Amino acid sequence: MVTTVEYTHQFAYAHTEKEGVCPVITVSMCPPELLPDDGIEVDAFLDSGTSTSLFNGSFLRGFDIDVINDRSKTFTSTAGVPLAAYLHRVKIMLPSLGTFDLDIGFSIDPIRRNLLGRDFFNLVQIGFRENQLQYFLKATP
Amino acid sequence: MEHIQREIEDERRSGLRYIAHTGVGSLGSWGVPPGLTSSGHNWFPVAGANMSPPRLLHVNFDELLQGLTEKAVASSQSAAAPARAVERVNVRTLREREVEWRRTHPEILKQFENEWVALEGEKIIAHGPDAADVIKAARAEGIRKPYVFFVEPKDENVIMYGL
Repeated sequence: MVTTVEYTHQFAYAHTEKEGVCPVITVSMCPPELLPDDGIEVDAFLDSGTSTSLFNGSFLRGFDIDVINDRSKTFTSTAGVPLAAYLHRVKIMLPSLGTFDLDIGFSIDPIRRNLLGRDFFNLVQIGFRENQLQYFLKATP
Repeated sequence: MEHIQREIEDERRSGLRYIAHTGVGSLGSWGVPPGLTSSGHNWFPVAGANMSPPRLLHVNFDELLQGLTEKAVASSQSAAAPARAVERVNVRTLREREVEWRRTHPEILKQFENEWVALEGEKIIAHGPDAADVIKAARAEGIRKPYVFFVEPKDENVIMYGL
């Protein structure tokens, strides 16, 4: 018996300068102590190869928050190159889907792309149709 | 390369619009809903459209393909048959206007390659190599919640992966 999933939201892949359309979602992000309207809006790649989401640490400095804390993590790519990051609890908000609390790794190095990984996927139900350049979401996993 | 990609996307979206106009019984709310238009890479709700609450989207791909085939045949045999109303799906995303502007203005963004850009509507508010500085500069310009993104240089010989 194959599981059938019912989705509530359907999105087209979004434009990027480098590669045309990609599975990118624009999210609102803010530290938990701030009001949602005081956050920022950034693009994030939906990346099932990432276990813990990873954002550019400069975003936190934009809130005058020190990236370095006692929750150090090392991210490694397929090339094995280590990337130092620190976990911070932030709120990720999506229109009509809701607000999600996530411990995201914020990099010390200036990464170019933010990655929403399987920790985010764990909070929602997500599906991809690459051939149609679409992805689907519903707010409950 | 880009024009080929565009042609592929246009062809796919053309197919999706066809689905919306014909209605597909087994697809539930699949397709572009009335009140929406496919402009650029995201589907935009038309201003003033009466959007109903999100409805569940049933995606069973085997049924989907079978339904498509059956409906395409039926549609070709009965062109006068009224189109069935397609249920609405919430497809709103943040910053659709800005993303569309990015897609249609590569020549402007090229001068900001390898920089972070704060974009509000169709206006570049701030830019620079450090995202924190760009965020603060945008706030100094009165943007309470800035939208910032990095402009990666385009190189067809470079393939992107996560990190």
